Amino acid sequence: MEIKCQKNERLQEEMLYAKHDSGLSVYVFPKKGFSKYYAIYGTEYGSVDRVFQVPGETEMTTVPDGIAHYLEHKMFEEEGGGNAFDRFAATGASSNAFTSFDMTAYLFTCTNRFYENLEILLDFVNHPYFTDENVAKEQGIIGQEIKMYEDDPEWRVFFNTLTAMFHNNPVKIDIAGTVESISHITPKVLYQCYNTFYNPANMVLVLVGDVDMERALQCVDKYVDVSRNLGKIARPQVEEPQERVQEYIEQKLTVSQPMFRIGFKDNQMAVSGDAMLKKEIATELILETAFGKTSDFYMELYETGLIDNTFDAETDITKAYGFSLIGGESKDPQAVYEKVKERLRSLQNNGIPAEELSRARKVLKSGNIRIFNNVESMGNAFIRHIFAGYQPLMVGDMVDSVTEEEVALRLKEHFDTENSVLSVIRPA
Amino acid sequence: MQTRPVCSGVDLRILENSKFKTNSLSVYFHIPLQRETVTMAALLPSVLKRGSEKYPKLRDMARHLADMYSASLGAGVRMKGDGEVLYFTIEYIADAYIGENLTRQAADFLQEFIFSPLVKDGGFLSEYVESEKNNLKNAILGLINDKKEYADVKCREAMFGGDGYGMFEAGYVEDLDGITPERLYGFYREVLENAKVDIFMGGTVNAQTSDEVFTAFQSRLSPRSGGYIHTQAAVSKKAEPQVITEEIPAAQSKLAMGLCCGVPAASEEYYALMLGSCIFGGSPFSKLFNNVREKLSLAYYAACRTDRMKSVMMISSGIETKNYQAAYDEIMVQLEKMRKGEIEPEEMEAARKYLETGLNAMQDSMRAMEDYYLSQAIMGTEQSLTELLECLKKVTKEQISAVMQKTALDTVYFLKGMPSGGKEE
Repeated sequence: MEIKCQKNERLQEEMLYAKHDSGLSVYVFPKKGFSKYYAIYGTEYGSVDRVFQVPGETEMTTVPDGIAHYLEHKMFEEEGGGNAFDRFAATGASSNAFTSFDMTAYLFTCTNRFYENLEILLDFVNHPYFTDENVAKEQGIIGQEIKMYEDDPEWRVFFNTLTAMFHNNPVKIDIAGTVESISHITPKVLYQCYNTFYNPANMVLVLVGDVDMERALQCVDKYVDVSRNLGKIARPQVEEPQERVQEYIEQKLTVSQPMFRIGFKDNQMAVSGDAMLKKEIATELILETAFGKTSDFYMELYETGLIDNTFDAETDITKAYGFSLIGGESKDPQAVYEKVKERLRSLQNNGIPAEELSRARKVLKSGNIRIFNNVESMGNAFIRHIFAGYQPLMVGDMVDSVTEEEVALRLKEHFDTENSVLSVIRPA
Repeated sequence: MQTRPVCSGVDLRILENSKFKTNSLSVYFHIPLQRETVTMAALLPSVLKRGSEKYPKLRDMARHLADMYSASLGAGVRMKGDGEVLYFTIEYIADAYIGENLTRQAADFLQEFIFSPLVKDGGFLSEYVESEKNNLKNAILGLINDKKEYADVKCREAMFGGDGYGMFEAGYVEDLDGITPERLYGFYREVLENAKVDIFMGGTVNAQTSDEVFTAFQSRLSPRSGGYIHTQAAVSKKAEPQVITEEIPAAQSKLAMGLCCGVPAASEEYYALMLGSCIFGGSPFSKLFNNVREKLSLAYYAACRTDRMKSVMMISSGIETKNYQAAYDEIMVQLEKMRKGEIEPEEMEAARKYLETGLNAMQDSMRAMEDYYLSQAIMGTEQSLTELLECLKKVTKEQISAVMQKTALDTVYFLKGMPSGGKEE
């Protein structure tokens, strides 16, 4: 196996990469001087993957909503009644897992016995054990997780925004599914999803810390079966109309004052790599200059009491979906919504001043440098970068390569004020 | 950690480590937690963030920070037992990555922020104070947005009421009216002149930059008599635990249970409490996790955390309303096991290792190390992480059982979720 090395002199960081015979991509980000090690083992499989083609079959398979997350919970179960948490407990590592729209990942942090912990991680993720009994047991636990999110106004205002934006894109479906949808989950369908998406070619292992790549690969050899390489999984492109579903959506919950998100859907999908990264950077530069704390917009709305320090803007762009959100708390979300649209139209007509754009580039690059302060933030950011086809060490350097024209084009195309949505949570 | 006394009541503490990409500079003022001042203390940081003499507007301040390679400024209050700290902190990129040392600029900015607020007629600008009073009111009322946090805070208030640890650090809405720009400024002057101060420098520090910071603060902070705020370990005075139920429209109920542990922060017994808390509900292999969640499927989370300074253990869980009694009973069954010393050797070993990993991992976070040494200073125990680990290794099962027997359930706060929550339109 060839081990490739990439360095970034400005950051004084390096990355090692190898493709295991099983198809698994293994990355090491050496971090000398740090006490912690971080390992994150992810599959490009999340809540949006509800329809797919099982390798060897011709028909598409549709599975219950929330199954990727359910599967994540059940992977910790081990034959004989134990669970992976107990095995990590014996070494002192702290383990966890998460499921997002487009990824499921298993992780641990530790300060010693790294390779032993790595073996536990590789072992339990490569050995599913689902029975009728242990699958049924999880209904209650996940049921409470779903209810916890039902009461979480931040989560609700976010999902309602997606519901108002997307007609068909499964990103609008709650990651954990519903109490009803998860009641249809059986060991059989869990195994089907596992065998399809937990195949090594669809997975990435990222290791951060004082890690030796050769030794890590020996651990991979022991647990990752070369014969399980099924290649990339075919997923149908979802037909998503350009238009929003509805402009306004509202829900009442126990909150102190209204909470809101303004959403813009991304209508140019199916890119990855540098083209997607440039799109992401251009979007972040726009949000920073238009709505960041250095903007006149932020100051004026803050001074008039329309927004407070909860006001923020973010973008999420992947191969499967994309959107930008602006929001926070306000006594008058509708007024903020009008101001936001006005601000965007003014920038679209007059352009973003060069000085502000260059300041925003500094903000983005500074944020990128800060990722390297912490092994967990490195692992979490880089596994996302890798699935997106970015080069993790080069993301910060790409900030300057996005031209003023590209920013202007993105501003015009993505921030369509005739296609925006407003989601509001009002006090019950 | 190296400590340099700047003057009486003011110390500069240096946590040198060049492995980080950023440096930090923080100033902490130690003040008691009391009803008369808690709301003013919570209001101060946001008023100061609105502008200073040199950077009078939000935008001026934000642009200056962005131009310092996007340095980040933090200001706020943090509870420390029966006291709190009013803190100001700036974090900026280390020179190795941008070819420019920003320490001087960062110190200048932080000093401008702390010592040169916008003042008019003996008070802060009234428009800033009024608008931040409104924002603070929303933040205080916004506690209900996070139901778990809400139940925990309400439980703590019910346990201690009055002053100190029973305070809600964000303050009280009914006290906002009485805060005038003059009164707030007067309070701030008093804090600046009298409160005990700790200054922390973290990241890449050399003799020159530490001297610069030392001299800069020496010229602004005068000797003072204020000291650290002493915290009394909590002991329950109730014959029976009080049970408080509050109904709320929500899909899930929250159960908060507060225990007084009566273990002084600097005592030997604390190490047994730390391990006991980890085994009981402070880890993914804990008794609460394995039984309330895994075995009985009653909850997605069931955990406890223990405040060292106040010696209070708070148990939190999110449950189905109808399962209140079942969850409560199971939590008590597990607590009883801890008290009886029904602890497996594997649990002891796992907890030791888990805490060891957590403590070693703190060395990778400037903020965590700073907070650790800040707490150590307040408790008057300058114990290193290595020393703490050694103490944990010596704890026996019997000691855990003994310390758990001292814990007393003081208050149960049940935030009862009622149907008729929200409907989409």
